[in-house]
Amino acid sequence: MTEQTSNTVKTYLARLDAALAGVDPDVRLEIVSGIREELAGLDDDAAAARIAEMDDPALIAAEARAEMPPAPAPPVAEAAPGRAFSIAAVLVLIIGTFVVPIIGPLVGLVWVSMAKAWTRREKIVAWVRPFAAGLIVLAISFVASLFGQNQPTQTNQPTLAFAFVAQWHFVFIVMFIVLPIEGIVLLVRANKRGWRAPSQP
Amino acid sequence: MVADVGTQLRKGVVEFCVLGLLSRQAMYGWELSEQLVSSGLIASIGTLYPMLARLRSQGLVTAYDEASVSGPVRKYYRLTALGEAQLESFRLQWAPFAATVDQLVGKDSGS
Repeated sequence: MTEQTSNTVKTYLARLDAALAGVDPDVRLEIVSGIREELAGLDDDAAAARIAEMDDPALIAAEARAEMPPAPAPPVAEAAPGRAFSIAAVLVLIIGTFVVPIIGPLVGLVWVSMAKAWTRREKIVAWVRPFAAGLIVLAISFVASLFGQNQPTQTNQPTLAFAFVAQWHFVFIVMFIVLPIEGIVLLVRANKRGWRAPSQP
Repeated sequence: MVADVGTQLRKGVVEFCVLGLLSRQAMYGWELSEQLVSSGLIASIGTLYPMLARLRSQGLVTAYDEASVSGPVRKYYRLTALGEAQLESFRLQWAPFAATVDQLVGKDSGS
């Protein structure tokens, strides 16, 4: 172990080690060690003669690489199942609200419920949220109208009738705001996680 | 596919040839490499070590360090019991396999 390694050997081993960059570290160490064993104890001339018989480090490294198992391919970004359907569902929900009122968002919500991009909880919330928003607005309008009815007069009857119709219009307008926003939220959320619903417990 | 028949054949049997060599005696890497290169089974020592790593990971070959009489401590490889069994299994299949292939592709195999 006290033998001096000749410069020729050191140079060859350094070239070999450099050429083996990227090869499995254990294999790289074994190749270098195996050749070092073979050259150990030789003087410069003997080492040079022995190295001349050996293969070029680049060839040895190429052979080692060819023999190594191929690196596992990066996971193919395969499309999430039903991705197109999920996108269609959310688009129908957003655009359908304006193009085909009532039926459009209804179909959109049904499709969202059938799609695989959202969890069951998200689907339930998607249904409940627009109705809840409508009910809240209706309740507020109803309470407001009660205050208006405290002083019923002949003159304010047409105003009350108008207010009743306006309440319902207001509910629909709120729903038409809520539904597209809900659609955008669902779209952004699904897009962030690759149109796959996270696994549910 | 047909162009590189030699390479494909070598790849199919070279590991068993290593097992065969080691069944006779324990050998160090360079020694094994010389034998296999001279037999035309591998191109260089670069092919040998990944193969030895595979055989070791499969439990067919094991390694140990031993000081040689004239040189440094060398890493020797020898067959395990599992390696022996694997080699025996190959031996049993090789002869009839080679005979069948020879019968099918031989010039005198008939029409």
